[in-house]
Amino acid sequence: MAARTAMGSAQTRSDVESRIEQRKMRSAFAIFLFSMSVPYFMMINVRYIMSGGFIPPALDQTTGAIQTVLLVISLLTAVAAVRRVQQGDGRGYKRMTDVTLFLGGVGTLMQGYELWYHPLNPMSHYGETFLATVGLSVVMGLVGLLVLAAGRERVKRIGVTPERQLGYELSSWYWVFTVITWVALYVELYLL
Amino acid sequence: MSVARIGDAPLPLRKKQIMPPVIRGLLWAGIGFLVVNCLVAYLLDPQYGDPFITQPSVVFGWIAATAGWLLGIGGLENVLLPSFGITVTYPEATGWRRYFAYSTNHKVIGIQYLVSSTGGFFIAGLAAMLMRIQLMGDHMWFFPYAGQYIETVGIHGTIMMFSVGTVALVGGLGNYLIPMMIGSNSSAFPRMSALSVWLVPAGIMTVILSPLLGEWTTGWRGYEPLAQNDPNGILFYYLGVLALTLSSLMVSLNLTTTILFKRAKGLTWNRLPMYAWGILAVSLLNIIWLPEIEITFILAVLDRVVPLPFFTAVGSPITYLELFWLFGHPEVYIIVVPAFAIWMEIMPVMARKPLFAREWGIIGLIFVMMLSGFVWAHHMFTNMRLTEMLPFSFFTEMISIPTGFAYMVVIGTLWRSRFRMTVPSLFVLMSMFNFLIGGMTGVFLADPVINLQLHDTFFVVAHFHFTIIGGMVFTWLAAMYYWLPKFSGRMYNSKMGVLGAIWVFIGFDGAFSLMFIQGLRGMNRWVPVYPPYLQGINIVISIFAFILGLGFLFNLIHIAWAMKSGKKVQENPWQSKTLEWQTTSPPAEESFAAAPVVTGSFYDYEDDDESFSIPTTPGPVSM
Ligand code: HEM
Ligand SMILES: [Cu+2]
Repeated sequence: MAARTAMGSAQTRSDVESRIEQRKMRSAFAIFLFSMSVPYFMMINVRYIMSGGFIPPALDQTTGAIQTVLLVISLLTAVAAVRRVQQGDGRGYKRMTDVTLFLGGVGTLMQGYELWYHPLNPMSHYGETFLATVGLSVVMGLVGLLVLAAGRERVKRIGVTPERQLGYELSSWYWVFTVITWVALYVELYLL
Repeated sequence: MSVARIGDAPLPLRKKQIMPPVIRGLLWAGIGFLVVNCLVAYLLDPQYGDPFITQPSVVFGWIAATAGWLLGIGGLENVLLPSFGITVTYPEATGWRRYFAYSTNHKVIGIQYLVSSTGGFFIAGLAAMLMRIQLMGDHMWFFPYAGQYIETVGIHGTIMMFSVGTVALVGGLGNYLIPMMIGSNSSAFPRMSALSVWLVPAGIMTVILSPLLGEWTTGWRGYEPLAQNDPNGILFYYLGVLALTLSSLMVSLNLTTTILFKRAKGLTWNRLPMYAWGILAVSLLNIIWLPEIEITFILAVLDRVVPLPFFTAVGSPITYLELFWLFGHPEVYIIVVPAFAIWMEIMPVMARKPLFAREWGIIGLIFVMMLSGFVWAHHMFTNMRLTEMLPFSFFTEMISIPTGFAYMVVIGTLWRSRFRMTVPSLFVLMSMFNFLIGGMTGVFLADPVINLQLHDTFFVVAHFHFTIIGGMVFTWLAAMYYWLPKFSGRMYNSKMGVLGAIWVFIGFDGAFSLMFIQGLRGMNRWVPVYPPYLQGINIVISIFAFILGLGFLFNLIHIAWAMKSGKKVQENPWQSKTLEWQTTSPPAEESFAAAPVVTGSFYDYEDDDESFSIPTTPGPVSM
């Protein structure tokens, strides 16, 4: 780093500060996600403690698969939104986030549907973990959607500037996190 | 407010007035609760006989109330609306009012945390006094029903553990001191801590109001399926502790990032102050274990409102115990690790000698942190086979080794030093003495043979009070006296300080050392009645306990008095080298006018070199 300064690249104080600020935000976000993954580890554990590898035959893999596919597409659009905002393209970010919100909203709604109309006995060991785990995913999904909606409103109102860019990125990455955790849960709850 | 007269120049736009934030928060919390509670109880999920409060309605109502409280206190204008890109002007409170408002100044937040913790401490202390009154007789006499006594024990333990033990030294002193100690003017996420602090009073209130929903008899551990026997008070235990742990989790995220990224230039890892190391270790524990216990509590709430059978008799009754203690033992180190760090912060200053074996102090903190995840089952020996006990017994006894490092560091520092016996050093020595007793009896308890005899007796009660009051509360007092000149620019009265220290020491050691004997003689926990042969010792313990309670009150009054009208004192009365003392006392709005640069060790008291320098003009930046 010192060498770089010596080479005379025009590095102002605020430049360095904003770089530190970026590193700070990214690391804090990583720590936050680490903390937020603890509940998922727990719920996966609880399932194997409670009911081993049992999967009820009545479970509807297809609905689960459809919502998983929808959510995975919304993951891709969220990543695309990140790319847009990195190029300073606020309108593109908003468009991509609209798609993410739509697909993510439908996917989350379908999860909610499975909470209400499930073919499981909630008093069974598999049933209780299924409901609690899907419930966790729905709650985290709703938070993610709220964060995305906030980002969308923000970009509409105040646009993208270099300082604000990271905030948009991180709201999309949070959505990516919720989708990845859901995919893990889908595999765990429906397949393994 | 002035009135515009004709002919005046146009007045600047009148500043938008809002209600005092706390009042607005309370109002919105009340409205939120009523609306959502009625919505759930009457429309979404009506139950037979249309009761006003149902289990689901009170849970959702509580969530709405907490959200209303946080938004009303200033979260709406400062957090929620800006995240949607809407900027509104929010009049910044000034003077004493800022302590009752949303504030992003880490020093204000620190004080807010400290005041909330102190409030929790005295509320829970009052509960303890009521327990001791009951225990002065061997039959039910003060409380009409046994459940009321046990509920009082539960409220006492819950508020002490989650609003004092985990909060005072982390959210309180941590928020105030850590940014200053690492040479920064703010924490990494000021808005996060500005909100999280208000979860503490919300959590305390929730736990206090729990009797409104009925009795709960599980104590501070919220045991399931035991709680299934009771009415619904336990719901407010789970929700209240949820709020308190969320607050601590947010503090930990903030302080970890602060320590990682806000350090002054030259403040390398091997110069990082011990207290910052302590807070880092604790934060890591919080970041892993608080989400764990939060999910456990949410599952327990779901067991009631859905209902699901996770922890009920048809579920898996032992699972709650496992999940609770998996967090529960790290929790006790969450409480005591910052205290170790404060010993190592205060003692070199008082000894005028470099901190002895500093690396070993840090290694000790880190190993305690890691081992604390491997010992939880020593709380459940009565439910286990001997073969399962042994590894836990082993690790529990092992953990006393890295704990011992903290002692070694302090004693090595004091050895042949120019030690100054001040009120803070007196409190630290008392704390070390008491924690030694607490830790050693813990090693006894970790031995299965002894544990099976002593589990759930007052021996255990004495053990953990020696570790928590002895280790943490005495250190908290040490820290309050030590940093009092920093907070206020004033000094305590040393005679009163010494009196306060001796007073609480006598009250504490008198009451709790007798509890060891009483436990060995067969006094059980969680029961308000006992065989008559134990009455004498119980009366003596109660008297010591009242002395102790008054002693804490005395120290509180003394500290409050000294902050307001103690003798004015120079900026750095202890001649400490750590950065927080290199600012004015009390510190200005911005602690450091220019960013300091660290050039040496903070604990090097052999010479009188400065440990830092303040550049007069910002030089060229290099990283
Ligand atoms: C060398 C260190 C320690 C050892 C070996 C140790 C060991 C133990 C053991 C074996 C028990 C279980 C007793 C029983 O219920 O049968 C216990 C209980 C307890 N310990 Fe420790 N302990 C240590 C340090 C601490 C510290 C530092 C704290 C708090 C700051 C603490 C707080 C507690 C609490 C709160 C309980 C009782 C929990 C309950 O049943 O409600 N201990 N300890
Ligand atoms: Cu333990």
